[in-house]
Amino acid sequence: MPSDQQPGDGWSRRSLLGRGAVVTASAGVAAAGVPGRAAPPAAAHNLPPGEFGSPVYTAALDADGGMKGIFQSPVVEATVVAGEQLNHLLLTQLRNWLNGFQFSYEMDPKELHTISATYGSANLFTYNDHVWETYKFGEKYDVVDPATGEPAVRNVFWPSRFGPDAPTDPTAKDNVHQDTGIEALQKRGTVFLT
Amino acid sequence: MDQAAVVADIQANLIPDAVLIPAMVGEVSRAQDRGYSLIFVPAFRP
Repeated sequence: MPSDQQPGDGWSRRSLLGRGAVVTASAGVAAAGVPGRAAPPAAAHNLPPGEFGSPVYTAALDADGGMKGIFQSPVVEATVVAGEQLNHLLLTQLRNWLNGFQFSYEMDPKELHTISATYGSANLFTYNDHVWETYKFGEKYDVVDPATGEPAVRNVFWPSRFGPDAPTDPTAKDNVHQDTGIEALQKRGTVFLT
Repeated sequence: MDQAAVVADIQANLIPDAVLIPAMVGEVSRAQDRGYSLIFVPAFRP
């Protein structure tokens, strides 16, 4: 927040996101041959009641009992290459958290409640391929797609690593319980906020 | 492309089942108030 701004002046996380997106979009326009320009001042963009949340998220918040974890990260810069996949530490910790309670403490998966709370550049997790390609986020945030060796033009964190036919046996190679793709973690009940 | 158009474009192109919320810092408080433990993941370079 600029020093001349005070809480309540209308700044929000989303307005800051907008500023970042405009800068990125300008870079994209410049790359396409149209002169870029500085981002204009951002307007407030607070979400009004009724335009956020979901029944699934509400159910997760209201869950009674079990184990509950909310995983928070502000940065996309926490990645590890795994073969042709790129993992983020938040996603591997989510997987490990779920597996530890399910297989070591023998808890019912229905009793495990998880939420991903990313912000800043880690919010890129929740943008689809169109956004990654349009605004060149891979180039801006130095996210390299291991499958191409080039800056990512797709959300490399979203797809299931092992596909819909992956085995469910936890002792099998490349089983669903080792999958760090957001798509797979959503199937295990994780709610991804943005 | 102006700011409002970019924000609208991003909001219309989230991954399936992503949940839009007003401010992440507030959601962490709401979750902790309901018994969620916080696991914070900082920047990391292997």
